[in-house]
Amino acid sequence: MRLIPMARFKDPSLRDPAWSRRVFWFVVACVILWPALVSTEFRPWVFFEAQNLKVTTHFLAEFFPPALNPEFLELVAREAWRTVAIATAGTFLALLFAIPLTLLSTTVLSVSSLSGRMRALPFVVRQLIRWLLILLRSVPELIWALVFVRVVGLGPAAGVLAIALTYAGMLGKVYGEILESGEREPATALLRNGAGRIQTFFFSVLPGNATELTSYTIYRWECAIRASTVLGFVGAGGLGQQMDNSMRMFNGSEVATMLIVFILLVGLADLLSTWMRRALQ
Amino acid sequence: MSGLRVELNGVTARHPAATAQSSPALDALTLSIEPGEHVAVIGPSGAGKTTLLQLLGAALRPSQGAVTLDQQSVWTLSTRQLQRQRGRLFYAPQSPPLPPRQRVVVSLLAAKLPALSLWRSLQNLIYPQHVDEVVKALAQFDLQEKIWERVDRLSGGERQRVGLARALLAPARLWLIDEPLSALDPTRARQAIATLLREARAKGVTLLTTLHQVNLATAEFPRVLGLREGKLVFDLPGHEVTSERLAHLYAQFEYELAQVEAPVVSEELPPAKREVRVGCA
Repeated sequence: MRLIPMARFKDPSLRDPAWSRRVFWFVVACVILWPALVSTEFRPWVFFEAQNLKVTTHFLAEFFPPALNPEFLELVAREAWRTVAIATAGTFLALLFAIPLTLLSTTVLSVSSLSGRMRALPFVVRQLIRWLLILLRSVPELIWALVFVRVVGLGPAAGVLAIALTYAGMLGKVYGEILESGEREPATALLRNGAGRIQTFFFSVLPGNATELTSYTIYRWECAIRASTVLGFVGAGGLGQQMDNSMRMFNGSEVATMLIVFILLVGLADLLSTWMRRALQ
Repeated sequence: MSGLRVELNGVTARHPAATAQSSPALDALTLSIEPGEHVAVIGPSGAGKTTLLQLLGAALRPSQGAVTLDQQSVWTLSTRQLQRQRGRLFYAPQSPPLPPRQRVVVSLLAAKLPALSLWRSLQNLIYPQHVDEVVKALAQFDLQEKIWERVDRLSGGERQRVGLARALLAPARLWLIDEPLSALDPTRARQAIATLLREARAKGVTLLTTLHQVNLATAEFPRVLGLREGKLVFDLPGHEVTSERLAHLYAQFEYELAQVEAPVVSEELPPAKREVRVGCA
C-alpha cells in the first residue's frame, strides 16, 4: 500500500479533491517558514560541533552539585519569597486596573445593544478602552521596569509597577474574551428584566465564568513569578537579581539551586490552580 | 400595585437576524391588554408567539408601530428610563436563563434586583437576605427542599419551575412567560399554570403566556389569542375557542396539536399518523 494511491485511480471521481489544496498549503507554509529560519540563524547542528559540546558540558557540569549550604539556602528562601511577593502584588494591582476596564469594555453588559445595535457613545468608549489595553500590554514589562527603576529607584517597587501595567493590559483583554465567549443568555435575561449592569455582573456573569477567570488569573500569576525573575536582572530585586549575581561569578551550583526553587514555585502555582478550579467546579 | 396596561399599535417586527425582504414575524398587529388580564397565546410553530412576548418585554424593537406600556411609548424613552420600565416587567424565556453553577436561592434572588440598590443586592451574595420569600416562592412549585442546590444539579423540569418561581419574586407588574410547560409532565404542567394564574390574580399583575398545550389554554384562560404567520386569527374568551377554530388555526400543523394531547407517548408514534383530537380538555 502506498501513501498516495493516486495513480491507481484512473477515474477522477475516486480521487480526493482536497489533495491539491493540501499540497498547496504545505508549500505555502514552507515558503513562509524558510525566510524566518534563515533570518533567525536557526542552525541546530552548531550544538553538536565538538568545540561547542565541550563548552556546554562544562557549563552544565558546574550546575552539579547544587549549592546547599544553609546561609545560601536562607538567602534563596528570602529572595524567592520576595519574588513571589513582587508577582503577587503586581498581579493584584493589575487586577485593580483590569476589572473596571473589563466591566466597561465588555459587550455582555451593554444595555443599549439589548435591542438592536449598540449606541454610538458606548461603542466609542468601548473602543477607547480596548486601545488603552493594547497600549498597556504592547510595552513589555522589561521596558516598564527599566523606566520605573529610573523613577522609583532599584528594588521591588519597580518590578511591581512594571508587572501591574503590562498584566492589566493582558488580563483586561483576556477577561473580556472569556466573558464574551461564555453563555450570554443569563446576563441578557437579567438586563432585560431591568437589573443594573453591576448587579448583572455579580449575579450572572461572574458565577457563569468564575472557573475560567480564576484559572486564567492564576496562570498569569505564575507568569508573573517568571517575569519578576527576569525583572530582577535589571535591578528590580528578588531571585532574578541573585541569579544575575551568581551567573556573573560563574557559580553554576548556585544557579542550579535557584532553578530548582523556580521549578518548585511554578509547580506550586500549578497545584494551586488545579485546587482552585476543583473548589469552584 | 396593579397590573400594567399593554398596547400594540400596528406593530410589525422581524427577527433580529432576518433580512428586510423576508416576511415579518409579526405583521401590523394591533392589540390591547387591560391591567390584571390573563392571556394565553397559542398558534403553530413560527406563528410569532415568542416575537410577541419579546416586543411587549421591550426586548425587540419593532420595525413599525408603537409598543405602549402604561400609556408610555416604550421606544421614545431614554436608555435609563427604558431600563427602569424594564424593571416593571418580567420576561421569562423558554429555556430558563440560569447560570449553571449558581445556587437556586441566588437565582431566585436575582429576580428581585430591579427593586434593590446595588449595596442591598450585594448583601445577598454575602448572606442571602430574603430566604423566607424564596422558600415561599419555591414551595408554590414544590421545590422548597431544593433551595440550597446548585442549578446544574436540577432536572430539566425542576430548572423550568425555578425559572417560573423567579416571577413570584420579581417586582414586576407584567409577566411575559414563554412556553412555561415545555419540560413538564402533564400533572406538573397543570399545577404550574394553576400556580401562575393564582399568584398573578393575588398580586394583580397582567399575565401573558405562550402555550403549546391548547387544552390548558382554552380551559384555564379567560382570554386566548390565536396567532398564525404573524397575524391575529382570533381573540376570544377561552371557552369560545371551538375545535373548528383550533383546526383552522393549526391547519397543516395538526401534529403539534396531537403532541399536546399526549405528550408522554408522542415520542413513540410518528406524529403524522396520529388522529387529531382537539378541545377535549
